[in-house]
Amino acid sequence: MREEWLDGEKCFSEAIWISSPSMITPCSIRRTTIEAHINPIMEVDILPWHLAYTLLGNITLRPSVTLLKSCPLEHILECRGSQVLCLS
Amino acid sequence: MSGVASVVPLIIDKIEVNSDFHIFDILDFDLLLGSPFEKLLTSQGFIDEMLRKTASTTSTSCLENSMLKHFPKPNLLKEMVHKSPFISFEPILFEIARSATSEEKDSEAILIFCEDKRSSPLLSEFEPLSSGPEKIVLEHDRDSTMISHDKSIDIENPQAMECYEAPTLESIKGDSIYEHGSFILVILQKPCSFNTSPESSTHCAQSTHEDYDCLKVPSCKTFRRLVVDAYVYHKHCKFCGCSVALTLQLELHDTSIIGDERGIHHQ
Repeated sequence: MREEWLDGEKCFSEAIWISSPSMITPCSIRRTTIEAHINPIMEVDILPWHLAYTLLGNITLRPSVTLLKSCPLEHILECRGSQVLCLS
Repeated sequence: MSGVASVVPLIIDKIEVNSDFHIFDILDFDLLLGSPFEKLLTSQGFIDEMLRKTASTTSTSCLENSMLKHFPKPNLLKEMVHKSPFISFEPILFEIARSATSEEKDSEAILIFCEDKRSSPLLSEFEPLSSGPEKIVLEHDRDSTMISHDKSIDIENPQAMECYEAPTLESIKGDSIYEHGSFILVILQKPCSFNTSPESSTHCAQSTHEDYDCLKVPSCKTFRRLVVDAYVYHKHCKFCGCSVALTLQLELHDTSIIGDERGIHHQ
């Protein structure tokens, strides 16, 4: 199983996590220790919105058109700073 | 629309990197580091710095090793001289040893220099070098003067005459070392005696040089002994030849006389 970029969409499948389990390692962002999943297959670094808001505060986000497609539910998560689009 | 947090400082295992995080409203994980770790480190320049450090460390060690190689140990030179005596660049080694002794005045360096001098004369005797320093031969022969001094040899062998020069300051400095060399000479006289023939003495000299290489064989002394044997053998041959000629002449004279007498009797 592999993920592919399709017109800016990142196919994210649970099978990827199963076939290539992530290595979990502690890391810290601004003196806050969190648990990081290292999975080079994803090719991008992803940070949940709630953690970004908590850890980074009110920071300016750079525009991006990257979408995260979650399988098998095929939810497509738009990479946004304030809006979460869930397309089923 | 905004979605990427740029240059977020992240510390992983005491390594601080800056990465761009895509912000998604997802609850499956806290943080996902999906970019290749090399890229993650390269963005910070950590890998480059680490590679530079590694390269500099390796290059430094190589330079140190090369510097050590450029300054060969005196013992190595000494071994080269003794194991391969018939080498044309040997005078260069002597010059290096001479400079070391004159500048540093180190006792060890003097010892090495004198030991090298012992082995050099045989080479200079067999292969006179055009550019080779004559002092080496003379200094080396100075050492041999302490062994034996035969005026007849000096007359017969002009090369041996060069051996008996007045000692210089360098030889005076190495008196203790020469004493040590004479001690070695006593040991080396056993396998090669004066009673042996020139051929056997030649073989003995070679074998002695090979067998007692570790004992710093004073080959010049062996060569001098060889010269003495050759001279004695030459004199012996001359003497034998004269005696044989006289014997033959006497025998021929006797036979002629007897023949004449027989002819007289027959007549």
